[in-house]
Order: sequence, then C-alpha cells, then structure tokens
Amino acid sequence: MLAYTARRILIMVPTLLAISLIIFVIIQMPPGDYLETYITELQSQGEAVDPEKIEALRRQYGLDRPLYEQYFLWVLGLLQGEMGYSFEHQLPVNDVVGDRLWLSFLVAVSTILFTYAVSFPIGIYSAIRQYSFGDYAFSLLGFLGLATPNFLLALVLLYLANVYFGTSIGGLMDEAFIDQPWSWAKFLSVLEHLWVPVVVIGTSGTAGMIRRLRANLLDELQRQYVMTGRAKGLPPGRLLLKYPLRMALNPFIADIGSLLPQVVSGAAIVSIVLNLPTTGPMLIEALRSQDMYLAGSFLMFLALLTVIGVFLSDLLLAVLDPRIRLEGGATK
Amino acid sequence: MRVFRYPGRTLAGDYIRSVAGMSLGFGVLLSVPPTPAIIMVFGGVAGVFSLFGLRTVQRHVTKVAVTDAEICNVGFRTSALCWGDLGQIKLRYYGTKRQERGEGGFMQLTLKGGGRSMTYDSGIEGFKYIAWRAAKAARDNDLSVDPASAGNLLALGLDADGEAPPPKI
Repeated sequence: MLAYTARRILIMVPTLLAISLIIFVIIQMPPGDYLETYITELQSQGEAVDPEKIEALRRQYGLDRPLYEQYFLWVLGLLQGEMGYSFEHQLPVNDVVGDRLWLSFLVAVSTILFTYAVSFPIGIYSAIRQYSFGDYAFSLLGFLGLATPNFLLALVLLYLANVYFGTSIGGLMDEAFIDQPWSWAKFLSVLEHLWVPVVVIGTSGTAGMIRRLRANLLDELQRQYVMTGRAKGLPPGRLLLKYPLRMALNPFIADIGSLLPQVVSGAAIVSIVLNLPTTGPMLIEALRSQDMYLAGSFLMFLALLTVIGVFLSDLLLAVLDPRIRLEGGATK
Repeated sequence: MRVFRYPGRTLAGDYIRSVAGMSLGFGVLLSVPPTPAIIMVFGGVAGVFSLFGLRTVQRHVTKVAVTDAEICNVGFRTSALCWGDLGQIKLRYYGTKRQERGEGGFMQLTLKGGGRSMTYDSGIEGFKYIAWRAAKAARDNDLSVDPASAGNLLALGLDADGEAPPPKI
C-alpha cells in the first residue's frame, strides 16, 4: 500500500502543474487584461484616463512582464500559500478570500457526508426490497430530487421560511459574526446555518447516488456467487454486507473524485441565492472582471479538490477491491 | 532451498520515485517560509517518501529463502515463518492507469502467522513460486482464502482450492 500511495502522490504533482499551466493560459486567453477592462469602464463613465498612471499600474501589478515570468511567480507564490494580488479589490487574494475557501470546503464536505449518509441506507433498502412500496416511494423522491434544480429548491425554502417562520435562512452565520475572528459562538452559528445549503446542494446528488447504488446492487444480487452463498446457508445480512455490497460500492467510491469539485462549482448559483460567503459568487465576479489571480486561485482550489478526491477514491478502491482486472490486461 | 531477491532493475523505479518525492517534500520545506499548512502537507510528503526509500533499500539487501519447512528473509534483520504456522494469506493487486494499456500494476503477497507478518511485491524474482508455496501451505493448514486473494491467485494460474504443480522459475 505504501508503494501504491507513493506512486499516486507522484502522479498528483505533474497533474497539478499541468492544471496550473492550463488555468493560467485560459485566464490569459480573453483579449486584454484587467487594466484594459478598467480603462474601458472609466471611459464609459466619461472619466479621463491618464496613460502614465495606467503604465505605472501595469508595472506595479507585474502585467508588463513576460507571461512565463508571471506564471512562475504565481506558482511559486501558490507553493508558499500566497495566491497573488487581486486587482479589483486592491488587496492580496488571501485577504480577499478570507474564510471563503474554508467555508466552501466545509459546505462541500458536509454535503458529501449528507449525500452518503442518506443515499447509502436508502439505496440498499431499495435494492433488497425491489418493487416494494418503500422502493417506489424512495424512487419517486429520488426522481423529484433529480428533476428539481438546486437554486429552485433554495428559493422555495427561502420563501417557506419567510412566510411560515418569519425568518431568513440565508447566509452561513448570524450577521453579528460576519468578518469577526473565529470563536466557539461563531462556529456554532455556522453549524446552525449549515443544514440549509447542505440539504439544498446535496438533494440532487443524493437522488443520483440512490439510483446508482440501487442499480449496482441489483446487478450484484443476481450473480451466481450470491445464489451459492444463499444455498450454503450464509445469513442474509452477512452475505449482503460481505460480498455484493462491497462490489456495488466501487462506483460509489469512484465518485468521490468528481463529487468534490461538482459540489463546489455546482453550488455557485445556490450560494448567490442563499447569500453564502463561499467561493462561487466571487469566482463568477473575478472571471467577469478578468481579475486573473483571484480567478486562477479559485480554479486551482477546485483542481486541487478534484485531484485529492481522485487520490482518496483510488486509495479506497485499492483497499476495497484489490483484485486483478483481467479485462484490463495487466501483465503481472 | 530456493533463494530469491529483488533485482536492481525492478527497484530502480522505486529509488527514482523515492528521490523525486523526497526532493519535492524537503525541497519545498527548505525553500519556503514554513507555515503549519506547508509543514503538514510537504512534511507528510517528505515522510512518506523517506519511509518508501528506506523500504526500497531494505528490499535491495533482502534475500528470501524458501524451503519445504519455512520462508525466511535475510537482510537488515532475519525473520522466518514456518509454513505450518501460516495463519493468513492475502494477495492484493494495485492497478495503475497504465494497466489499461496492458502494462503496470503490481501484486502484493502478505503472509501472517506465528506473530510475524511478511510482505512481498510481485517485483521479486520467483514471486509466482512464493505465491504457489503459500497457497499450498494455506491448503495444508485448512485456511480460508478471501475472494480477492483467490481471484488474484487464479490470475497467476494458481488455484487456491486445488493442487497445482510448482511453477517453472
């Protein structure tokens, strides 16, 4: 396992470097840069633009340097935990982002835990009680969850909370704690508000996961080794947990890699609707205004989540099902 | 008695990996101002690859002797496991992306018993012979082999439940 872990970590390094290069190229692709957008904005408001001031700003922000130099400075900064300078906010990205990265991570991880905690027992129940009333009821709920856009669910919840409880459920903490240093009370306030975005963002993922687990488990339950186990008198619970469920979990675990970035990026519109202090709304604004280091840092954060997610799912898969795949054509 | 060892060419890749990983971990730790996050992430990377490097060196100097009575490792320290004491056999396969192109991936055989645990990677000479001998001992000791290990033994051409002639080395 140590050798496997070492190999997988080493693969992560060039992957992240390649992603950082692609992100840098993409955020440089639109014509012009932040200053040109800024000049256009000033001109549209009828304000005079001093070319010398603009040139001085270009030098100050390092936009006059060759692209490769800008890239290396950015990557070296990332390695040291410095994400560059936000042109729009005129502050280091670290200060602009503040707690947003951690709060996004918290929402993402909580959503994934919620998704798994809800979909796992329901998926198993639906598979072993196929075509029962419970299976139909959960399937209906699943389809509703899949068909309802997250932002719509957020709007409905906001409306219901306002009309029936006279309260706003937006935000991730009470207003008194915004921009305040972390304290136990602030943490509790975050936990208190967390369930709404978690339920809203996690609903569609949960519905999809239930359908996938149910389908995989049904496939496995019809295999011959399950019949053999039953014929040999294995207790049903033990038979289910030890063999078919283990096999049915493979795609479930392989999903971790794609789930993390999906939850973070897919939550952007929900974050706007629910007024969440997460990365989504700021990323959209940074992309719109060509605030390249701010946008690039957010995109690197998403990439890092993806790579870590794939790494975790590969390790879990290796533990869960360490069989040779003959159809894969392995040589050893 | 048959004696096997890890050939240098199969360990070369592991040496390169451990040096690359340690360079990355220690390189970042020494070149940037340390923060808790940097120390945790890159210290972890440096630690994992240092362990990996030590294990590779250990494998390089280890010889494995297989007799009818026991399997014995001779290297930095000597340990032996009598086939009669074998209590568990596990054969795991760890794939890589390259396995889809017909290459890559490796197996790991773990033998436990008599308070000892011994692990061999498929890079060792005579891996198939060691696996065959272990499977035979598991049958003789009436051990149950888990489905993943049984499947992997079959992939090596060894049936966990039936007698098979020793593989040619």
